[in-house]
Amino acid sequence: MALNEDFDVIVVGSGMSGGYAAKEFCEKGMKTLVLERGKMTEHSVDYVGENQNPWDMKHRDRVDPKLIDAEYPVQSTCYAFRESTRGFFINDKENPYSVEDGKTFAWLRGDQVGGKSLMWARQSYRWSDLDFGANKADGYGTDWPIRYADVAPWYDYVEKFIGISGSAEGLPQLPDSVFQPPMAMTCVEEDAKAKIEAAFPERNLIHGRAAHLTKPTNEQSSLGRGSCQYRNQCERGCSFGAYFSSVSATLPAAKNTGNMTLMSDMLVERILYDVETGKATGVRTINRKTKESKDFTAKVIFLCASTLGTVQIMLNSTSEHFANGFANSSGTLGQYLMDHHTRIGAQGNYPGFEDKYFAGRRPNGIYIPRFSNLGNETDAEFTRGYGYQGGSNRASWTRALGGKGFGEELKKELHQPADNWTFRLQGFGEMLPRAENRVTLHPTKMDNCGIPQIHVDVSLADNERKMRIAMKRDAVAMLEAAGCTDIQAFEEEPVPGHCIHEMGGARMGIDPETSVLNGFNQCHDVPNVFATDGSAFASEACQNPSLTFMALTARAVDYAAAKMKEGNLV
Amino acid sequence: MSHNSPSIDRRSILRGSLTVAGAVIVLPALGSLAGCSSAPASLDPHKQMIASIVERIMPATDTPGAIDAGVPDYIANVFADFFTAEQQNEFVVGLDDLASSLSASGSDFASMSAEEQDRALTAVDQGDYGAAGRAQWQQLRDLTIFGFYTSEEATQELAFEEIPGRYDGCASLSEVGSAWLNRGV
Repeated sequence: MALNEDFDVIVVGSGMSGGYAAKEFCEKGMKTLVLERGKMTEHSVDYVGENQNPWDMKHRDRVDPKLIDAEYPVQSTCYAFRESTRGFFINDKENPYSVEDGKTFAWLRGDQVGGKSLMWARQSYRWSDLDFGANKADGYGTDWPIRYADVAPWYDYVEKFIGISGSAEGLPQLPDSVFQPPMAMTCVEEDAKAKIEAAFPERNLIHGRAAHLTKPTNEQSSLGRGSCQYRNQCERGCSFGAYFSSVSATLPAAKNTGNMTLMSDMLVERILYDVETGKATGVRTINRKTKESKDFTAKVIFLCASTLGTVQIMLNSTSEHFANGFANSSGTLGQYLMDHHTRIGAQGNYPGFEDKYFAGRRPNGIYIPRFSNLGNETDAEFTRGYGYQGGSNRASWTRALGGKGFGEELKKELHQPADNWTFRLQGFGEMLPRAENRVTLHPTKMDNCGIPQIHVDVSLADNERKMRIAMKRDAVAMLEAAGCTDIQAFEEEPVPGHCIHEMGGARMGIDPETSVLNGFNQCHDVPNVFATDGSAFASEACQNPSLTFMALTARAVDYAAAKMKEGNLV
Repeated sequence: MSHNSPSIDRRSILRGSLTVAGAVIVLPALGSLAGCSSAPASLDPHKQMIASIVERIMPATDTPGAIDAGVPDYIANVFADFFTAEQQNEFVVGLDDLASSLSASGSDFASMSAEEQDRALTAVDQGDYGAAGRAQWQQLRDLTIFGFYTSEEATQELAFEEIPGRYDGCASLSEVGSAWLNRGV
């Protein structure tokens, strides 16, 4: 257990949050050790699926169903799971977890440097005071110790670096970001926008806001990043660096400082705690290749291991002082887990525009921001709200699959796109924070490194069920207003985790007796340990959360670094 | 003879199970019961028929067809790599059924004229979904369409840009000229 080089900071995880923490600390001159449990990923070099056309792949980007059954039964349920992206998903067989009997949970995970930032869907939306104030207004969960004004400058800061394409709309419930030009709508989407906004004046159909460069800044160009080329194969990795990932942006920026030590295949088993100083001294790691155990020390530890990864480490970091999990004097560690509920909406045929088509493959769509309960009403049919992602399409040859017909006639028919456009809206709803939705460590089941498996017990409740009725109803009504025909509502039972927006488990709060972290993502109980991924979230809004993970991470680093310079965290 | 006598058909035997009054019984020794060898199922006996069928599904016109596009090899790869032994057996049994349906007129499918082949395939395509060979036809049809439009040859049939470099949400269809060759999955 030789203690080697002493670091200023250890960052656990190298994804969305970890990459940002690494960049910020390194740029402030801190010697930073980044520990990633997954394999090494180099920008461009390790994008093994990139530039593969279907015919370059023996099975045309389909994954062997036998391999799926044996090794990827959970990961394969992700929309982005293909042969060309498979290497970015964790192997389920080698990384088991436990789920409460009678319930479901899909733990979708990256297993590499860059984590899920490599294959995320890139949708990026600010939160507003509607979101940060929700818990206080309706009494679910605990009040956030922060408000929009605390985060707004950090949104600005992060957005300037990562690059968000989108349009300024001036909506109070969805504040504008620092935008690069939006990706165009199709003529069908523009038409739907006009009709839906006319029929429902309180609703807005806007350009999807996505972390793609459309007009790179000098800073972005200097990191080797360029504009989106509209290939829409982002989840394979993009050598243009056009979409934001930690591998294309934050980690290279951190590396450029000379202050980062990045180690892959290093699983953090536990946080080491010194009861005399009341601070963490470092972390114990297991090398996943050699199984060798090694301790690393640092003045400050940032947990950015993903919502469930961070909670797992904290729950496993027990000691005489913290018998029930690290910094868990409140007893709330592992509780109030959330994920957005989706798999619901409607689609229909869109009349007109038969002479119009699109050119290029847009890796983005349209967005309809939340429009219900905008005053955080508590007397509505349900509390909180939902937004929609969507878009239009004009089907190509895949429309023939499963149908009838063959031969020259079919080939001729498929030479043209489908006669009609289609338009689709998919709802993403907020789940309330509830104590009974929780993750614990399984008492007996271990992973192959001897670490207790997480045991997840999450389910939807009455409010989500009521909200889903409205989500489907409103999608149908908007398609009707747009003039769609053959409208089909769709709804599948949501599997928690499947939206890959897990949040909570180490929530922020004002009161140390009922929360794990303070308003700077700092453990109430241990001042030199921070958690800045989704685990910190006291509620989940209905927007995609990664942008807020990064804004809060940058803010927490700024706070921690200032305290370190004052000598208060050392 | 009881009404509950086991219903046995070739397919259920090849699946390794029997249905007896609603319950599924797993057979221990598949090969011997089915009276066939335990050698893995092979597409070889149906090679000619498959090649003939896929070309009728996606024929060469002024652009390449399924044979040019290597669809038979693609199907053979799916059969060899993606199917379990059980699925391979089912696939071959299904091809036997399809061969019987297609040669109802008495002649072997591969030796028919293109017009005769199209007539025979139309009868299956438009026929009852429960008819012998219908399910196999659907699978073959869909594998052919998928295999063809994910082949490089399909770039001669549909518009394709590896790196579009721009996005136009309101392009003129006549200027694009055809549907885009999307990636399929």
